Amino acid sequence: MCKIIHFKDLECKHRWARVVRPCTHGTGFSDCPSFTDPNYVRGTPRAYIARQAGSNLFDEMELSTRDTSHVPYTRVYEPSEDSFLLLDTLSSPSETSFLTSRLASPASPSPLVVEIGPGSGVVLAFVTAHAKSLLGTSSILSLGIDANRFACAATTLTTAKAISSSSSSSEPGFGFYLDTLQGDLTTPLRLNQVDVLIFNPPYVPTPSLPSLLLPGEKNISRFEQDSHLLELSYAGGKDGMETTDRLLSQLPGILSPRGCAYLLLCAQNFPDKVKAEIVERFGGDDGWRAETVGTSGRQAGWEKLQIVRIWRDYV
Amino acid sequence: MKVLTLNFLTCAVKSCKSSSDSFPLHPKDAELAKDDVEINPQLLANVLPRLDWNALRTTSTELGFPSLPDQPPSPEDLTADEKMLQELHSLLMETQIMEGKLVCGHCGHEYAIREGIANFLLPSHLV
Repeated sequence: MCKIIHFKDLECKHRWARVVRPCTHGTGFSDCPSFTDPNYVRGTPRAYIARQAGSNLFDEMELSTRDTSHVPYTRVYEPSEDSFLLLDTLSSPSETSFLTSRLASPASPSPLVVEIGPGSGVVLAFVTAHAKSLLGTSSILSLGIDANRFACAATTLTTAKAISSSSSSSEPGFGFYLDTLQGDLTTPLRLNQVDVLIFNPPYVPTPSLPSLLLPGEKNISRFEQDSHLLELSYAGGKDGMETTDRLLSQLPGILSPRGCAYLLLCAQNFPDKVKAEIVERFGGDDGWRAETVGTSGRQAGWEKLQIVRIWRDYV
Repeated sequence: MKVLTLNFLTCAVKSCKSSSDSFPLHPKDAELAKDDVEINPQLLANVLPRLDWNALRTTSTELGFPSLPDQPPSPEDLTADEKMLQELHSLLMETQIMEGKLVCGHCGHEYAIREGIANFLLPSHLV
């Protein structure tokens, strides 16, 4: 069956749908059995993408055959090995059982899942769409924060697509996606609210960090603007740790008592040193822990990329 | 930006975090839109206990919605009162601020919302 996304115009309230993934090459509304067969029942749409007249934000995100095909990769980080390591780790049996045991007791309030720097949105979309199987409950709220405005729009669309694709299963297991805000790390958030924080930081060691705001005035070229946005997504400054260090200093104030964080590090970040410093700075005696829970890219005996889980044992 | 999201946000200025005036942020010149979202009573029952109810009451009034009760409804109240369930669902999950500003009650800084995306990046003199 062809996958479709529903849109609604905010002014005239016109609703329409587009085929985002044909079931075979070239099929669509006129010839796919899922639309032409009167005995085929299609569920009511779970969500509409609200669209404003004159908005050009989504226009560049041409929808075609891949779930992230709307993402403009000239200006938003393309999912790669690091994104997929996060997905693998979050869906591993050890992490799903850890998260379920902390978050999914019957009477517990809805967990808040926040991804910092979601980029194309694949990770946040995956967690939102599969909340029940990953976190043990579908009553979750998910939120993204990204410095790049195009990434904010991309994440919203990627998440809507992922929820739409997952809705074919009988029991809905997806959570509720809130928004992706444009912002600097966790600074817009109220204190101690986040139950799961995910961060794939700009981790590549570079001589300096780019400014969060676009350099200069509005007359810089599109190419310069795009280069700046992409640089923001990978350039990590000294040891590739300058942005991660800022996030770590915010972490104890941002996580809830049951909260945990998944942080991606590469070998050049000195992950063992980072983990030891977290426990020392936050207080191992107060129950703070930092452990590697996922690895990839084994090279000459050391891991190229790893996921560190940071959490506080209930004392 | 959804009304529910506002319940998790404060002013991004560091020195405002400790002030109770920085939460909730106050909508200004807000243009609202309504999405169609399937109602999920279980989700609503699980979300309400973690909200700051007084902040939600303020936001609701400021956006021109009917005033909410003094206390959050219990799961039993929600089961018994379908109208209340529908109204809360509509306010929290369906109502979006598409254009406008969010104003900090402590420092007065205004965060712009354009095309439904709120911008919390601060100008360099406030960082």
